[in-house]
Order: sequence, then C-alpha cells, then structure tokens
Amino acid sequence: MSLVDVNTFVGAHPHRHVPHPEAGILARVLEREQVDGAWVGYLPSAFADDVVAENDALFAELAPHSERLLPAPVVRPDRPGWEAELARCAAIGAPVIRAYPEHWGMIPGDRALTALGDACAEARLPLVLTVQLEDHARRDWPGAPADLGAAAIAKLMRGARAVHVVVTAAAGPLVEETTAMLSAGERSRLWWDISWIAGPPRDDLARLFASLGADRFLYGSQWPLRLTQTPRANLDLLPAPLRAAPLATVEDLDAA
Amino acid sequence: MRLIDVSAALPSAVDPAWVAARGARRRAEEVIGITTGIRCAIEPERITSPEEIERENDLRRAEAIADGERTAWYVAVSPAVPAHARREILEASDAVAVELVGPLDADAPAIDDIVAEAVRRQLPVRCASADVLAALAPRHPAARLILARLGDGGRWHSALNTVAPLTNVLVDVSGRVAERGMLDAVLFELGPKRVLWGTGGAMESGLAQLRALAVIGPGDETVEAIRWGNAARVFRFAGARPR
Repeated sequence: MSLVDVNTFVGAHPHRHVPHPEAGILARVLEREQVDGAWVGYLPSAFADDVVAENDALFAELAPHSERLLPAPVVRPDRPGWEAELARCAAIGAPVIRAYPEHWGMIPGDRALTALGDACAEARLPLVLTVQLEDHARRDWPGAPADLGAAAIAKLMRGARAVHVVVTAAAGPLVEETTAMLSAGERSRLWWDISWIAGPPRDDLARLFASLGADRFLYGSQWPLRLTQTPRANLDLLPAPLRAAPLATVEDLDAA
Repeated sequence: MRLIDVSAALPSAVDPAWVAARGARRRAEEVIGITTGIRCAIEPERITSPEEIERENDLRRAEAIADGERTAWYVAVSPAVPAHARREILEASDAVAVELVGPLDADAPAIDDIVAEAVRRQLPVRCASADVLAALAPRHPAARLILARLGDGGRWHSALNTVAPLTNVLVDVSGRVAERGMLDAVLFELGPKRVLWGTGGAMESGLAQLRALAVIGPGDETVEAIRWGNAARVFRFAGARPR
C-alpha cells in the first residue's frame, strides 16, 4: 500500500505567480515528505481551450520522473475528438482523467460531462474534479470560475452510473452537502481529497472522518499552490482515535 | 522552545460552535507545542454590536484568568462604537493587545482615538486590513501595528507590498490557506524581526508553516524570532529578549 498525493500540478498558473511548479522539484518534495507518488495535473490545461497540446506538455514534463509522478491529463468532453483523446490518455498509461466543468461553463447535469463520466467508467479510469484552485478572494481576474458545487457533483454521480470520482479541494461543508444528496450506492463511488478540509478549531476533518469514515478520503496537498506539509499536519492534529484510521488509497479506487 | 500563537482564534462568543472549537484548539495546541496563545476571533469583522463585544471580551478575560500563562487575549474594540471602545480598553487591564473588530474605516474619527489609547497603554493593535494599517501607521508612528491573518486566502502579495515599507507594522502569517511561497516572500520583504507566527482559523496551516520554515532553514535565530521572540518583544511578555 503506497501513499499517493492525488492533488498536485506542474506548470504555470496563467493568472498568478507560482514558485517553481516543476516536475523535478515535485519529485524531490515527495521524497522529502516520504510520499510515494503523485497524480499530477498540468495547471495551464485547467484554463485551456484545446487540451491536447497541454496533455502532451504534461507527458513530456513527467517522463523523466515516471516512477513517482503519474500524469492526470484533461479531457474536454465539449470539444470534438474527446473520445480519441481519452483513449490516447488511457493508452499512455494515465491512471486518472481530470475535468474542470466550472472552468468550461458547464451547468449541473451537463450531458457532455455525464458522457465523459460514462466513458471513464468504461475505460476504468477515475475522474478527478477540482472545487477550487484558490480561495474565491484570490480569484480576481475577469471570467474567473466559481467553485464547483454540490449539485454538479451529485448530478454527475447520478447520471454516470458507474464512474469513480475523486473530488479535490472541497471544504468540509461541501462534502456534507453533497453527501446528503447522494444514495449509498452513489456515495460508494465518490472519494474526497483532504487538501482543503479544515482541521482544528473547526475540526471539519475529524467530524467527516467520524461520520463518513476515513476511507472516503485520499491524501492530497494541491502542491504547488499550497504547502505540501498541510495534509500531514492536518492528520497529525486529529483526535487520537481517528489519527490511526487509514485513509483510502488509490488501490481502493481500483478495487471498488 | 517556546511557541507563541499570536492568532489563537475561535468562533465568536455567541457562536454555538465555540465550546467544541475550544476543545479542538486545546487538543491541537498540545500536539503543536504551543506554550502561549493570544485569544482572538476567527471572523472579527462579524462582531459588531456592543453586547457581542462585551461577551467576547468577558469570555477571553475569563479564559486568560483560568489558564494563566497559557492564554493571553486581545481586547476586542470596534471603531464604529467609539464610547464603548474606549470603555472596553480601559477595563481590559490584563489584555496584551487590541483587536479591531466590526466594520473598519481608516478615516473614522474613533479609530485614531483607539490607536492613541493603545499607544498610551503600550498595547499593539491588530487588524486584517492592510489599507487601514497603511493609513494608521504614519499617523501613529509610536504604535505597534499587526497585520492579521495574511494567509487567509486573499491577495496577500498586495497586502504585503502595502505594509512592507511601514516599519511599525508586523505581519501575522496565520490563515486558512497556506499558500506556497508566502512565508518565503514575507521573510524576504520584511526580514525576520517583523514576522509573527500564528494558527488563526486553521491550525493545520500553522503547523504546516512551522514545518515549511524548518525546510526553508533560515537559521536558528530567525526560527526563534518567528516562533516566539518577536511576539514576546511586541506583546511585552516575560523573557522577551531572545538569547
């Protein structure tokens, strides 16, 4: 069983400076923090219209570090040829696919996103969604996306009936709100990363571990946007009985 | 080594979540090794009425009395209710600093009276608005001012640039969004003597920043200054001068 950071990126953010978002740095950071590997997205692709070239850049950037850094490419189901791009990503060995429905102006229940969910399920690739790349107070450029909402996540889980979904960068209240909208079966295909879930004094992470189980949550930092030390610090500050509870692993997603 | 949390924040005294949040904070303080926490509010801008402010200050005072050296407190005052603000400061003889709460306007007449009173009583003044501090700092050169919660998710680059030239402003790096690069930028712009460590509304971010500081490796003297030395000096705690 290995510890994988499911929420990392390389590449520049188009609207703000991010220090050293390079694969070589990420590989060293993971080694220092004793994290075995990472699913790595490409920040420019979250904002791109044509993601194929961005995916190529991601694959090239990660190639020298392929043992530890696994690509999380983007497929835009609202663009022609997306099925072929999904097949190409699967053939290259991507373990997951990323999507940014809020960046693409999709409403909850968007049929293209549901189709992507179905296709990911068919290809046995989990779909990774991102609630936010930065706090809303920081999102000050024209056309900046809103946070991904509970309705969008719930409608995807309901519409694409077999897809496994990992939602990253959700705060505790969104996890609770979304969970309340889903059936047990739908919840069993949904995992959350812990990068944006508050620790003490709000104690959202402790409350969610107690109510949903730690095995619905994956290790995630949102490096290079946020400090890589935050998720481990959050786990260290849990009440003692919860501190020992094992998180979900990426292997659990395959097995579910 | 001592560790002073200059932003030991809790929900407001009227929030039903206060008791559970205090328990969670206590648990985390033990794990992190915080030796003194200075009590303040997670969202001071939402504390507006005189009644709320009084309850807040009563609770903070009671905690500080019960906890001894473990808990100190900011007296909450609102420039929007001037007469009340002055009375709260006068009655808070054991508070170590002033926290500006409620809506803030650098041009409100009462805000200068509050800062002047804080200077007379040798109390630092804390608020989360760089704009307000930029106006106050030159008007009150003897004041010790603290920019609160730089890491709370807003435009910290701009806030940092705004206060960097103001040598009587220190910066508390606490906040719920521990952005990578913020700590390095603060150290670069301000130097080690104007940086205060705290946890704010997200104690995991505070712990992560301590661990990030160890990775940055600025030297023992700087680490000591950020962990407790600067806070002890600014808040006039015992043993204030770092060795």
